[in-house]
Amino acid sequence: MAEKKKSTWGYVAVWVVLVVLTVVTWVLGTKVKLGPYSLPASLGIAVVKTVLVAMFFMHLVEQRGTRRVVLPVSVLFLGLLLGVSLLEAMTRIRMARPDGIDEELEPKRPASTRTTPPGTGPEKPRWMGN
Amino acid sequence: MSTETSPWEEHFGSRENQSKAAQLGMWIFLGSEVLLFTNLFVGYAVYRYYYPDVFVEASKHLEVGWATVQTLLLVTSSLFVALAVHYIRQGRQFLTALVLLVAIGMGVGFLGIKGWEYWKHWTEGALPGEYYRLAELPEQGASLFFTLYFLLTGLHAVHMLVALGLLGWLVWGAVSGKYTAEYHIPVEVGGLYWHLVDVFWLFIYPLLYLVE
Amino acid sequence: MNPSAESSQPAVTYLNHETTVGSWLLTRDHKRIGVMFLVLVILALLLGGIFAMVLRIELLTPGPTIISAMTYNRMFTLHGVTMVWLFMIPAIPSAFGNFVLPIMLGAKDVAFPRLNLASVYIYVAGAALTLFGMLWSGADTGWTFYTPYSTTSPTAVTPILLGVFVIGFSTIITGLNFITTVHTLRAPGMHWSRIPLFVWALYGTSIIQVVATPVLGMVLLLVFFERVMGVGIFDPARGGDPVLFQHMFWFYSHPAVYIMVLPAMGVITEVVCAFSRKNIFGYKMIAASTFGIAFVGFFSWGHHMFVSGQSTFGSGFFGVLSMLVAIFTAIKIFNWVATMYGGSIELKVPLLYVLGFIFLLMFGGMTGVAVATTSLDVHWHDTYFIVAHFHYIMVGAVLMAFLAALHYWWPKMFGRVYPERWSFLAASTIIFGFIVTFLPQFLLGNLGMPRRYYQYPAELQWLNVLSTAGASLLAFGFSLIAVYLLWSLRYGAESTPNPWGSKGYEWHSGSPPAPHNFTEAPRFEREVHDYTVPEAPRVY
Repeated sequence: MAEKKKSTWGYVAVWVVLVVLTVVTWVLGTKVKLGPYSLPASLGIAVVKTVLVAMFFMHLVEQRGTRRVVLPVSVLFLGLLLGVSLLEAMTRIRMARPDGIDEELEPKRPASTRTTPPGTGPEKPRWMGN
Repeated sequence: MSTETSPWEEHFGSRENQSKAAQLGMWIFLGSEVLLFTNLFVGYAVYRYYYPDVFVEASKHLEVGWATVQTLLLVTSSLFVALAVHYIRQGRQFLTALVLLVAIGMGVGFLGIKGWEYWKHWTEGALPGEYYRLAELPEQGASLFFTLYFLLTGLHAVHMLVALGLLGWLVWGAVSGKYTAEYHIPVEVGGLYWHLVDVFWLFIYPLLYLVE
Repeated sequence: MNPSAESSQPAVTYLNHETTVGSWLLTRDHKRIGVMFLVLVILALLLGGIFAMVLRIELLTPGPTIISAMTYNRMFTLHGVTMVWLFMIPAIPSAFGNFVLPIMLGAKDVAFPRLNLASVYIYVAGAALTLFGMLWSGADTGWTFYTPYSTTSPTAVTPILLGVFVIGFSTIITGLNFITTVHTLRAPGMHWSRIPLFVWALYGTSIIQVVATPVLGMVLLLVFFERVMGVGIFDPARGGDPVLFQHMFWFYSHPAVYIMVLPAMGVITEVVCAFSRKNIFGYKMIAASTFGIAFVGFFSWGHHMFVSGQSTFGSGFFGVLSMLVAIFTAIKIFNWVATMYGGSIELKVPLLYVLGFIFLLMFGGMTGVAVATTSLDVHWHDTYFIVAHFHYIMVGAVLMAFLAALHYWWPKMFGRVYPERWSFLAASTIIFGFIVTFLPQFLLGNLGMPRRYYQYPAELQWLNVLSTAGASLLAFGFSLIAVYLLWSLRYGAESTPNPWGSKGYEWHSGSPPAPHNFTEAPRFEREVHDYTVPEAPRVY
């Protein structure tokens, strides 16, 4: 419970930074071509924006103890699944990748398991699967 | 939350404790929400690794300009929700309701733009999986991009709808005088949810719209 | 309150202060919610047990016995789905955890009682969807729902996926509630170093529940979308990667093993202390190893995928890290044994189950290290060796702990005593029956019998017959328990407030407890399970 009267201008300042960062992301992504650096740059900006939103809009700075660590911990677990799955995909032998074998690139599912796009064929109920 | 009884619950022992518990509960819930989105981000990472060029091309079929407007809308709505918490802590109920309504307006605007975008993809045939009809890009990879696009933005939109409902409920509570400078736990934790939905978009925006 | 009064039971308990059906269905009392979960998970155990018996009877002969191959596929799927999601995940946390955790902490209730009630109904809704799918046409994908088969199977996979998705929310709510309760509702004197180890175990479990369950929910939803709308996210024909499904699935489902096992270990810790009349040896190590298991459990999911096309690097990474789980488990086992050493052991039924637990967990854990070895797993993968291994953990360990908890807290929950001789007979039958059921399956797997197969070569029949005989013993043991427990509810002698003489904090309240657990605020002046000073346990 904040007893001291806080000004609204602090929030507005954070908002201004967020807007500037959004515009910077947009300019970097569409006007300045960063090539391979674009992903780290735009994600880095997104992280900075997230930290700002979490710290000031979500008042994480006021929180103590567990309430403070819950969200960062969940992000760590996101990173775990993302990192290890990606690492595994990167170290696979070529044949085990979905884009591995050239002739496999054509859709080859049996006709019985494929359905036509909507409006182009007889519809059948899908609720029990294909 | 029943209106006829006091919002302070006895089993917490103290009001501070109830407020703490509600905040902690919400933070844990937000943590689980992050993990709910995790699969989609992981899918995005792995498939972008497999099909980097297709993802760049497919991303050009999305409306970057409008997505930037959407980002600005969400960021600004977050400001207003933060202000709502700020005002209710001072007990200014009318101002709280007002800024929440502005935030709701922006959220609705966001969803409007999203709906228009979806309609454009529908006519273009840039659709997920077996509905994919875009001729200029290979189905391998591009259909996955649009699957992930629709799943990420769709899941986000569902969260937006829930969050909008939550804000509407908070407006009603603020107008009816349920929330005061002493008791405003729902505004605090409801605001947290809105900000989290905003944060998801902060990542969805560069990942889907600014691929190069 | 005077424990030595004529009728030792409090006049007003959580069971009799309101008795209408509505007072149960709309209750916010964590104890009643625990009891409702107990009834629900026991029904699920019964259902899953029936599926298991059908499977075992079918496997009596090498050829077709009583059901067709398709029915067999459905049976093992439904057995897995029921046992994992309807029984084992909620069994100890939602039933016993809900009942005992707030009392152990000296709280009047969990932090969010309404959410707690909602978790019951979410569970019921999910279970109803799953049952609906079972009755419609079942599912034949196995409980793992591997793509691409699960996206193309003609059976009713869809409602079962949705059912499991819904049950996930019940799990998340329980976890959220427990974490918040531990943080905010501890009574005065209950500082962090006094929290009972069962609560620590539930706390570790809750973290896994909150973190991992959403991942499962989302991946099942993706399969659902793929079935219903053909979004093709795991479809190799569109460039999708089925192995990615397995990553996401096991990111939940491996830690899910610890959702089942950690609370079981918590129960064991409580029971070991109570019947050895000693405080736990190595309190801090047991609490720390709980988190060690929870943490390492998140780094080992890929050991389910050694033959899936996963990279060699991935297999090595996951294989090595999986073995670390054994270290933390061993810490616990050594501490339990060290607690019993030199204690004044009283062999009651709960302790008998604990002994069974320790033996079976060792067996399951050691074979676990063996199958975490990549080269060995290639031979054993998808054979009965794996089936036997995880049944040793999930049935041998978790079910033993469930039964230990049931027998240990039965007087606490219902204020009745069950007949001791019958319970010893049942416990011995179950432990013996379990070993007879699953030991032959290790041999079957090593001889090359694949899991989930309808038929097998005739020379493997004697082992299968042995296994089915053991399963019948198990069924007999469970029926016995059902009979005497139901009997004791009505005709059993009234229990004293603390029939085991336990110093566990949960015995501070009456048996059965009062509607708000305590008639006066409990004080925690002693360490949990501190038997050093001879003093009558005090009931608040």
